[in-house]
Amino acid sequence: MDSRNFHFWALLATKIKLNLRSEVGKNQLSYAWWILEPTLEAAVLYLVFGVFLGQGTDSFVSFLLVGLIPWTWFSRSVGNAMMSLSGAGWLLHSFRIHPAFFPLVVVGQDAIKQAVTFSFLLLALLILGIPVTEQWLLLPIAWTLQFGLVTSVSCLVASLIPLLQDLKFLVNTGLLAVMLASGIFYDAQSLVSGQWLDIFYLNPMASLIQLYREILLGSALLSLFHILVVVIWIMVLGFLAWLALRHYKDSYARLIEE
Amino acid sequence: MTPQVLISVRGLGLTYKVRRSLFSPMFVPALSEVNFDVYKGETLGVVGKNGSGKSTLLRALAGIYKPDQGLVRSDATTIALMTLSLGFDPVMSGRDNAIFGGMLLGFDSEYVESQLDEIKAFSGIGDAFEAPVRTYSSGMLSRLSFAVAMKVAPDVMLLDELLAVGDESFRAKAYEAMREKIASDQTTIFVSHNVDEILALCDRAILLHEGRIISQGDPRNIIARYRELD
Repeated sequence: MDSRNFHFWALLATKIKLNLRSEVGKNQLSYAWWILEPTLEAAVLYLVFGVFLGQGTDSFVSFLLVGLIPWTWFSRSVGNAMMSLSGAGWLLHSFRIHPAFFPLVVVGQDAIKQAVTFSFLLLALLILGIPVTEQWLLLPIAWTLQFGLVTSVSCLVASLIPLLQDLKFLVNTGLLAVMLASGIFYDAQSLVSGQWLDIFYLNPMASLIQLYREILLGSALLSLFHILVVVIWIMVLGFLAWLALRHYKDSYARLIEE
Repeated sequence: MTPQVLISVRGLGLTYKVRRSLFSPMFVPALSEVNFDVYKGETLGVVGKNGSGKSTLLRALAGIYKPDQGLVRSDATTIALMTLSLGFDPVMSGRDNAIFGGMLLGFDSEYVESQLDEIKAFSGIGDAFEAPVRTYSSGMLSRLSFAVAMKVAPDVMLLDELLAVGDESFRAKAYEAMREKIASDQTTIFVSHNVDEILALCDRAILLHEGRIISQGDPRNIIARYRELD
């Protein structure tokens, strides 16, 4: 690793550390929201599906939480990273800095906060009486896959939005579509008909949420198909992000307004 | 002894693309056919009217803007543009911003942290050093950025009107610190509208007009020529 590369990672680590520190000082509730938001969403979904539609069991609550918490991580990080490069004119006009820095700060900062949220998830599952199995040891696999997916999607949208501002509307619609088609609040295995199931799981978040459920709720053995889907998406989107960042690396400072 | 050329600029051209509508971009030339050298240890002044390309030139030297024509060849390890806010993040404290600002200038965190006490003392902002930068007045902001720039100086400092900082007493202190830096073999390129500063601090100067160098050499001659442009 040359010294310039090393400095990039050191700068990134420092910025993430300083941001997390200033966030605690700025808003005492900022960490709590990472737990409160999925809890509130789970409460609303429980009311609709559990109470109104009569599916109110403890297993449904755990089923919802295992879907919602990874989803919140994904949508928050992509949403936060989306404008990270476009909004960095103040730095890009003063310093020579690699454009990947900006989405990576968001991704790194959010991933650290997720450690807190996932501890909460495991605790909630224990309270709900979900048995702890050896499968839980596989959680880092799903977590790492999600980190890869969040990183590649975040870098790709952040790198494209300065070129085409209107893309941000498409990203918001895309996030909604991915959410509805991820099986967060319904069981795709029983609701989606067999012929469509494989296509349904081509959505990386659907596959990822299924992996989390296989690991934490013991719904099935870990499926290689779901792992493969997520890995392929990470590679394709990551490659596109790398191409865009490499091609426009020297242009962003002049494309983005100060 | 022949002075060592640290930065060499040849045929530098840079054009801004301004998008008026989707299919008809307008091209505004900011710099064209710019040629000059920067020698190690010298202080080079850049003068010119508003819109003559001074800030664009500094950004091209810092590697922030890639030239459309020509090249900028630099043998300096660290070269950085010192601006009035040094990339400060309003929600972070002065201390944290000093660390990040120093690292942006190309130094590692250990070195920057070892300079923090001196930065705090030089800035003279006292306990506000620990408060978020969004609570700072513009004078305090420029005191802090100037203090970072002075204590964590890169090989080549590019200053864009940075001496116009703070109140009268701080300005005198900043000016004195600048003189000491210049005497200590620091390579500096600075843009200023203040002709007295250029005359007092610079070994050489260049005059930019409509993106071209129309004169370079002794600061007294350059300033005389600059005044003729009025």
